Amino acid sequence: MIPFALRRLLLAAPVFAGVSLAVFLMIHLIPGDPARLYAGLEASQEDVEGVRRALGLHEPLPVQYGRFLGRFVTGDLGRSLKTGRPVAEEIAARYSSTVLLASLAIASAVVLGSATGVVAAVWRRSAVDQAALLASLLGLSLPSFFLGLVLMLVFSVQLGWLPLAGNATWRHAVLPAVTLALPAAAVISRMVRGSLVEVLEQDYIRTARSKGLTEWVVVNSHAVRNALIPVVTVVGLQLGYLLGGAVVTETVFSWPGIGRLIVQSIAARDFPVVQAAVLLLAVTFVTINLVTDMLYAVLDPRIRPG
Amino acid sequence: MRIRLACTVALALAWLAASPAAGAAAPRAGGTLVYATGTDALTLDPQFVTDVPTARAVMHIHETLVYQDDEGKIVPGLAESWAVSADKLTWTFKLRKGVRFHDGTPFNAQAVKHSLDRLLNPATGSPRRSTAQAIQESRVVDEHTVALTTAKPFAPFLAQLTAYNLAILSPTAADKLGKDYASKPVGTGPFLLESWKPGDKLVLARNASYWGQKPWLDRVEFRVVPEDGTRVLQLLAGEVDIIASVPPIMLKRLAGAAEVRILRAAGYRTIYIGLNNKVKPFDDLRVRRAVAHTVNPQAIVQGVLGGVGAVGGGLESPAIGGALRGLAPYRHDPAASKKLLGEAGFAGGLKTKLYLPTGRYLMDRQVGEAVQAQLKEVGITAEIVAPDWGALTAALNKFTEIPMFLMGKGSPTGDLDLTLTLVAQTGGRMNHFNYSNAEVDHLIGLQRQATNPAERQQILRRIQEKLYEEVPAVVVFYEEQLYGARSSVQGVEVHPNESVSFARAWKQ
Repeated sequence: MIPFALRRLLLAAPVFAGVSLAVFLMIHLIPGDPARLYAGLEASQEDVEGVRRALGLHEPLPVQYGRFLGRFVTGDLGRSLKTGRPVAEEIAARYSSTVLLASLAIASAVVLGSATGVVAAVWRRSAVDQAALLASLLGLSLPSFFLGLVLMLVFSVQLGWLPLAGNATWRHAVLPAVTLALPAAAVISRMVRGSLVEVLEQDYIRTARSKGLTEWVVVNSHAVRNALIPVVTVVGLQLGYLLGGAVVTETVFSWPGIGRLIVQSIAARDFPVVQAAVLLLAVTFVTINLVTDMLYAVLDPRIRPG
Repeated sequence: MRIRLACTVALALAWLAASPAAGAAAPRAGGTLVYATGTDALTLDPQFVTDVPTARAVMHIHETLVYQDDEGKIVPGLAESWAVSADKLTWTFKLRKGVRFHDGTPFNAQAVKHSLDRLLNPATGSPRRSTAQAIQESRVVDEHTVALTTAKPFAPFLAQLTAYNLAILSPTAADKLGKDYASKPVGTGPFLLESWKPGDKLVLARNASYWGQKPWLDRVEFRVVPEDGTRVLQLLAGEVDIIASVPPIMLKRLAGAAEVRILRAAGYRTIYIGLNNKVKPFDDLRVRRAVAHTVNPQAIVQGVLGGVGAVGGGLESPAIGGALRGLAPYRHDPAASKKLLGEAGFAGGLKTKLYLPTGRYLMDRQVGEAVQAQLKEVGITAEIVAPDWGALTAALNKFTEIPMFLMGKGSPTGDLDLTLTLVAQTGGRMNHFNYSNAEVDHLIGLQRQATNPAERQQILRRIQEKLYEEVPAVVVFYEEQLYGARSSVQGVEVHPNESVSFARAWKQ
């Protein structure tokens, strides 16, 4: 499995190169002059040109891209145009906040989503199933800014249990994590239900039942594991999205995550930051996909990676 | 040094209906003040500051040679006194003695020279190098005396020295840290940097060896809370002590809460609808006047902004010293507008585009939509275009692309020279309306060198009258600054140039 993983990572190298080039071109093709944006509307043309030289933006685009690549392979991500701070520092702080929030959210989503999904599948077409369907629909369709505000009003303003915003303690993470977890749980719940229902109608389940096994054993030992493959795919995707940062939730709860950083950096045409952050997200996605593929093999020995 | 703000405090306090005046109770020392702001500081190096929220943090750590009070009078800062030579070219400053930077470096003439030379050095790469461009030479006369020379007499010189970009840095720290000074600033100010987690919070601690009156507070925390609604909820819940930029629609909600009060202060910022004087149909003065007679600032301030903001007709906010006061907006008169449009050949109406920033200025989008609706009444159909700030500024900077736009301009130095040069002079960097008048250009040059204040005032008056007549832009309102604070918070100083100071603030 290790050679498989290495091979996959090598194959992903062109993906990273493509992503970096695409980001570089995009941020230069959209209108907006980074030097002017940095210096401000009121800055004299001379000051803007001074900034352009100081930031190396006066050179032709291929040269700038070459320099970026040259620095990149030596592990230097450069400095943010907007703040002058090293990009690596800037991104590391934000990404760790995002990873914390995303992990909390995905863990809660998996627990909540699987529980409701299994219950709905076992008692399919019952009132419980209908209720789970309704809850999932709600979870999926409530926009996160609205959900976030409602949670704030109930748990912070009315009940006073949790702080409104910030990230000083673990209590600050609860509401944003829940805001992110609910829609993910809804997706996972539907996937678990669908996949489990399919498995529960297979012949070998009928065999297990006719052996006289209890329904508990039938579901837990025989059905769930076989139903997990599509679920793992969905969880992987959801985790990928969460690690990409959640701008709206981060904004509502003042969570200093990577989503807000990327959006602000695009607005400032701060491409060293945008580029590094998007590359980081690409690496995240490729890694998650790889881990997902490897999990398939763990779950079902018939699947061989590679 | 904060005498300059005494009047602001008085002004702010006048609005505080139910709270005791700051002088009534004895200030209490200690505690942490938590200030929630929408945007984080970008840098803590004064020479790289280009926006107000950043300046607010930087100017608690650093100080300038002189300050300007709310009446436009120049008062001492790090310089105790000053004199100008007979030829009006050399300004000699006597510096305060016994002042040290946070790293122990003594503050002296060498430090002043070092800061100014650093700003002017192209290798520094400051986006605000030109704020010091008037200074041809800085010379150390003795340990506590510095002489600054200009090439030509420069009337707004002292006002220019109040600009945050000209704050004084520790020469030792600046040399040692280079670019990293941005996150490890060393000034002479009442607070020093304790910690900074960008995007989250910046913590300032009391400078125990401050030369002036030491702050009451132990700490000030600048917290980044981007969402307006969240800031208001945090204030009501007591999670924070004071919040910036209260959205007008939340005013009623806050006014009803006993534990919270609103601080309102006039500001230097004008929000205007620019009309491109070189682009059809606004190259015709009659069309510009027709727009001025149609836009109804009073209705916008009342209807859109909930009464927050002042109305007037002059392009310069009357809060700025030297601004012409008492200019009313053009009379709201749709009939007169239609007549003017008819004369200009647009009896059947006209179509144009109105460019708006979104989320840059107070309720900018909504204000623009109100203007659009008002214009419709006289047959001007303005299609709204709202690109992101980067794209909008790129288009504005072509100077020919945008016929009509909403924009705002503030004044960091509180002197008309700066804003007139930017917006009214031919080729000015923010003259996006392409206004060009030879007489105005001449007068702007003249006032800059007019060292007699009364004479300068006359020239400034003439320039502003001319601008009022020729309507390069229609003024919508002058921004008012709104802060929300817990009732326990006292002594916060809000200046019309949009800076805020916690140096004399305390908590009950």
